[in-house]
Amino acid sequence: MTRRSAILVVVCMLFAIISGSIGSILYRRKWKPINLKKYIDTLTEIAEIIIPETFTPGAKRAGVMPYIITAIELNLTPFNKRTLLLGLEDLENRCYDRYSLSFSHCSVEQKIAALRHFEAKSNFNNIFLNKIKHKLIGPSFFELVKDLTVTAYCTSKIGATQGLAYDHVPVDYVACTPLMRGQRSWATS
Amino acid sequence: MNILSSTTNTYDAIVVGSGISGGWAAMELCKKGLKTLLLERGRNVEHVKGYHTADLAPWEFENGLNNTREDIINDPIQCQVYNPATKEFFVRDRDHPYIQEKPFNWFRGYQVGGRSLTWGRQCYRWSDLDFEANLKDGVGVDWPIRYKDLAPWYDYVESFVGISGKTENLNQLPDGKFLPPMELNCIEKHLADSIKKNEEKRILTIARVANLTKGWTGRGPCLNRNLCQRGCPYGGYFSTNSSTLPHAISTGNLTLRPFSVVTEVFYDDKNNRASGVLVVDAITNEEIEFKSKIIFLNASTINTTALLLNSKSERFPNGLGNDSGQLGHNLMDHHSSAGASGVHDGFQDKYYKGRRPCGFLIARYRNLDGQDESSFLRGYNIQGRGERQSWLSRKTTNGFGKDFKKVLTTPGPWQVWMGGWGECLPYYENRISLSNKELDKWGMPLIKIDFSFKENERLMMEDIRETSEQMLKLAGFDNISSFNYQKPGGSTIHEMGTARMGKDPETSVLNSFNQMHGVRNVFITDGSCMTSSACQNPSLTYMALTARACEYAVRHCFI
Repeated sequence: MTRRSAILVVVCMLFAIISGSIGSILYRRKWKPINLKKYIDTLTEIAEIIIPETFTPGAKRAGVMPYIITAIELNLTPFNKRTLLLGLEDLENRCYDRYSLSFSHCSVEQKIAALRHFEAKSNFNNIFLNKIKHKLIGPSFFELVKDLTVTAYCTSKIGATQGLAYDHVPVDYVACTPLMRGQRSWATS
Repeated sequence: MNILSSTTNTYDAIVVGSGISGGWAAMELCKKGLKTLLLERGRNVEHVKGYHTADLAPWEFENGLNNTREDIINDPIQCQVYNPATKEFFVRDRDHPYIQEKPFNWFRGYQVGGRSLTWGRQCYRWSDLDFEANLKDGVGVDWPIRYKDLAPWYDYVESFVGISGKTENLNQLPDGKFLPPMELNCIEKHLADSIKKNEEKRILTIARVANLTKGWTGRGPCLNRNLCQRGCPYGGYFSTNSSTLPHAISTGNLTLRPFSVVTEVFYDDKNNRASGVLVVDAITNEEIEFKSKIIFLNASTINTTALLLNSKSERFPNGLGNDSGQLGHNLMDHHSSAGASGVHDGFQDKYYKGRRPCGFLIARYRNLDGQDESSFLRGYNIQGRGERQSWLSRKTTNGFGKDFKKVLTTPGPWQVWMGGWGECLPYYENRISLSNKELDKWGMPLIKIDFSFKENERLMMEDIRETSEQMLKLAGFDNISSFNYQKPGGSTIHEMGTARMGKDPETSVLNSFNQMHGVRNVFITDGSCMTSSACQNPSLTYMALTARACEYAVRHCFI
């Protein structure tokens, strides 16, 4: 590709991102308020797909929802909260359209497919473009739910002590230990 | 000990401020038999009882360790350094406004113990490379002391505090009286070996910290939880609350008065001495006068100088002891926002156990006795840490589900982060002054801070970035990202200067014993006394200066 056409591609992509962002910001202002309570089940099921039960507990058993709700209410900017709620709405609409079911009632495979769709939408393959996108419209719906789920899980009692490893009072610092097969990461540092 | 209930307003000594240097002043003066009043503007925090979050597990915080949006709005400055576990040891910005003439982050802890509860605990001695620097470079004024004056006092305070560290025989970083050192982990040892191989005069050593590696003077040892900033129920690290205050109390000579905002130091013109202080009760706004023979000002750099500027009289129209006109000027802070990080794919079969409450140090390697020709004066040390990536870094890995969970919960590759802590020259124009319009809740004029780093510091920051990156490269690290965030002054929380020591009363505020040139019963041993900043974390030097000044004060001023 010549330099000129490469520059043209980047400029077009930037234009698309910027106008898409402005569009999505303007468009969302027309929406009525969305109630988070409506999506508690959806969020619980999303969390369990992101961190499922395996040999160690998943998100549901770790009881992630109280933290997730608190974090959404107290920590997210109003803009990011809307991104999250609109994303949840989109997710539910997609499941109804494709499977005539709410997300919670879909099969595991259907849930995974639905989330994969939103994961794919959330990022470019290019670090530079991702940085610009983040600066303009912040994290995507999928990035938000994934971050909330992970933090909720890793700081929960079950997540920290069974999914990870937690030592409340280590006493000693042992600077060099062999890493055992299957050994889990420390939950705090 | 009496608290809040004393029937007298006259003492042998008054200490203003109960932080790391004030606690020392109170203890030393009490041990020497002086009835001492320790005034603290904030609330009391009792050792162990006052550490409300010290024993909480991560899941016991409803919002995790995240600050809320409300925190960010209400505490725009303090929230940069606190989290829900430590918030109670930092001021509420709305109650304590100040004026930034240029951007300046002023982090404060207004409670008994001050910032000795939340400090980084790094303890490094100065050497003559630091004490002689102003004279050699023709910058600022010469220190009125040298290393030999302070060395016995470093010995003295270290013996009480308990500093863990490794002797390295470095001229620019004298060894102390150490407890056994904490250990470097394998990636740090690897980096240390690589640095030694590639740059023979550079040394990476374990940080020297006031965390105890064995039981000491009735405290500790440190149990490697790395939650120091919450206060330590085991007394594992040095703070006023765990160490100097209990010793001061045990002498029977201490009166502690929290909620005491000192707004003025009174000057007795007839006898050419300070006679006492004016306290505004922080809760009732009642004004109370206290008198004493000796006064130690340890309210922290900016507050001590603001207090002096606010203490005007016919003899001292520009602030107590301000014959030189230097009071308020030559404000310094270390810069610490340049460095590099990288990832290493070796040592995959190694890990560690426990949470070491410190990192490593690469001792200063620039401008050592004319050995190299940098584009800048003075130097910096590098502080850093190596660990295996945890869930906090791994959570951004693509994907979700079973495979993602495995990545999330397995130790990631080794990673090292390091940044330079760099010296700041004393610039006259970097200063604090008092507003002539706005007052705070207690009638003190708001403090105006006018500070910026200049060319010398900027050149040093670039050097830090380049050499950090190079050290990681040579040690086989990948994904190296170097940074230079150019954070504003105050961000390192090492404010120094504004009431400097010096030989000449015409160009300095204090003499070689931290005694005010113009008012011989006033001593200042917090950061405001510093004539230059060096690059070492300064608290150990404050402690040594304090103990030395107390001995001098009692010998010469207590009649």
